[in-house]
Amino acid sequence: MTKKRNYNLIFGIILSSFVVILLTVGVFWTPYNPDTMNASQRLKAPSAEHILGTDNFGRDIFSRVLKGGVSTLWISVSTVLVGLIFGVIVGAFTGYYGGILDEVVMRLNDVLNSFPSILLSLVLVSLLGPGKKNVVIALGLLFIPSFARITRSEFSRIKSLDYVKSAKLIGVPSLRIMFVHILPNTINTLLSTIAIGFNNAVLAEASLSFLGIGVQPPDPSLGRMLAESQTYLFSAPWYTLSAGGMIVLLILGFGLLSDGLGDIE
Amino acid sequence: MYIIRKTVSLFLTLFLFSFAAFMAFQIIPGDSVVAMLGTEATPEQIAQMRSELGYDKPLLTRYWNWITGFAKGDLGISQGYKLPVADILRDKIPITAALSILAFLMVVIISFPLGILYAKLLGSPLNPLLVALNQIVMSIPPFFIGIIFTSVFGIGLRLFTPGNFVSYKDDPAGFWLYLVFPALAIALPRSAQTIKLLRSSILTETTKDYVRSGTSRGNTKNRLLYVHVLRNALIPVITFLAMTFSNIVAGSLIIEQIFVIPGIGRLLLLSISNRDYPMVLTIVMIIALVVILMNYLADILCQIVDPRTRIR
Repeated sequence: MTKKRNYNLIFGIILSSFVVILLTVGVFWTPYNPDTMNASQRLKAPSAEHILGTDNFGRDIFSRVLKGGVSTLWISVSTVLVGLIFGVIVGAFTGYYGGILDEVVMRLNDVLNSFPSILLSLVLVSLLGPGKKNVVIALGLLFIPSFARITRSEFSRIKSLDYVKSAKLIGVPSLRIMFVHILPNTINTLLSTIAIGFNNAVLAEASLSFLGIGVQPPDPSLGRMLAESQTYLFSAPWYTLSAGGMIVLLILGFGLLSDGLGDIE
Repeated sequence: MYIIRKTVSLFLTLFLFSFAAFMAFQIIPGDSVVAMLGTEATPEQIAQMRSELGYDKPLLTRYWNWITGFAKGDLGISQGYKLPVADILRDKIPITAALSILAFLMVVIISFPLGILYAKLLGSPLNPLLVALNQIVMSIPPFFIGIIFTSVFGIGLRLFTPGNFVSYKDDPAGFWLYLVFPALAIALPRSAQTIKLLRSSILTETTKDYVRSGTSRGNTKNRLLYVHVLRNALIPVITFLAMTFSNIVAGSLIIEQIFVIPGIGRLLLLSISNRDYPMVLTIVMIIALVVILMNYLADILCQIVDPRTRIR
């Protein structure tokens, strides 16, 4: 094989860190207060003063995109964490022990995995009620299967390796083998799944909020901004493009990162 | 043997899902009977309504009644519309089905030739540009494309009137025309994903030994590609397309909202906000049926294209 540069990884890292740094700044500082309305500055085009223009209430769009992006990213991080923690536990036990439980859990996983996550999250959120916390719970639950599946396949592969066998022979407790000896060896594969998880979480959160059943006001959200901007697309296209552009940047960055991480082996 | 095993697994999956979905809607907080009758209802009225709807029977009996009713096409009564769910759905399903099928056809029509072309262009200076472009299109959410389409093609170029949905009965041509842009909005990111998969699948296949032997026997590149490589390269794509179809159905739920198409998606969102749970449960079950059936068909199709999967 010829040695090829991993462009996906390079661009993925550059783009995601750019967005994440930008949003981290947005946590502490935005050029304007994102909620301050200014009637004399309604729907102004991008300028030196407001680099992404202003919205229908005269609020600075760049500040709002930052705040919305922070909220979206925060929800995605929480969601991925919920999915990751429970997914790894389920996958570790089913992969390590196998047996009937493994069969049942994996069948269920197959069903959930083949199901469009947007639809299921819609139903779950409708059962739980809208709001930030419930979006995280619903999406987190839905992300468990994908992490469980990857962890399981890694565990069932690694458990038959010699070092695990010898650890068993000298009497290392099963839990210790699973989480101290096997888990660190699955990190590579898990990283790529985490990146794609972020990708899906951003998309799912934006879709739910776009439909009005995700994050509720006053919490900012990119999806809801996009829905609100629809009305002003003609008088203020920069409004829609900024909100949508931020979503695209997030998804693009994490997508490339996931591809790049997957190519490493 | 393979088909029998897959069919058994199909019914098992359907059972598991329907049971889980039914149970999920039973444990929700808030009594739907009270929601139907209003808070003024007397306990006797509530009790009567409950027994009319069969809510006083044990859970398993109710599940059995619901699922056998579902199989017969008796979908229960919508609490919001006070009409049989089946009657309401009769007009909505064809619209969402038409939108989904149109979008799916677009994905296939766009991605197959482009995927093959992209694979052929490996090593050309255009290659990195196309890969980057593809990656970007892949990352644009369908609802964002939808918004841009409504304004550019709808309000700007007046190719269709957003919000002015044309019913099939009134004007079949206008109906399909109205669906073109929503379908395209769903299809574009999906096509980009399919192109990427097909391209990498073809490129992986071409490094295999049989292609080298084929070349050494004097086969032309095109003959190798279309006769041998493509057949193998399509196997992962078929599985992916089955998943794509279910994603398209889910995507159409959101797109219907933007283009104001009176299909299942709008009905689902309305039912969710009205807490009309029999309706929500039915719609979810119908979509589940489509998703699970598509995956089943993909498995069977893969096995026909590639008999090796029988062993796995």
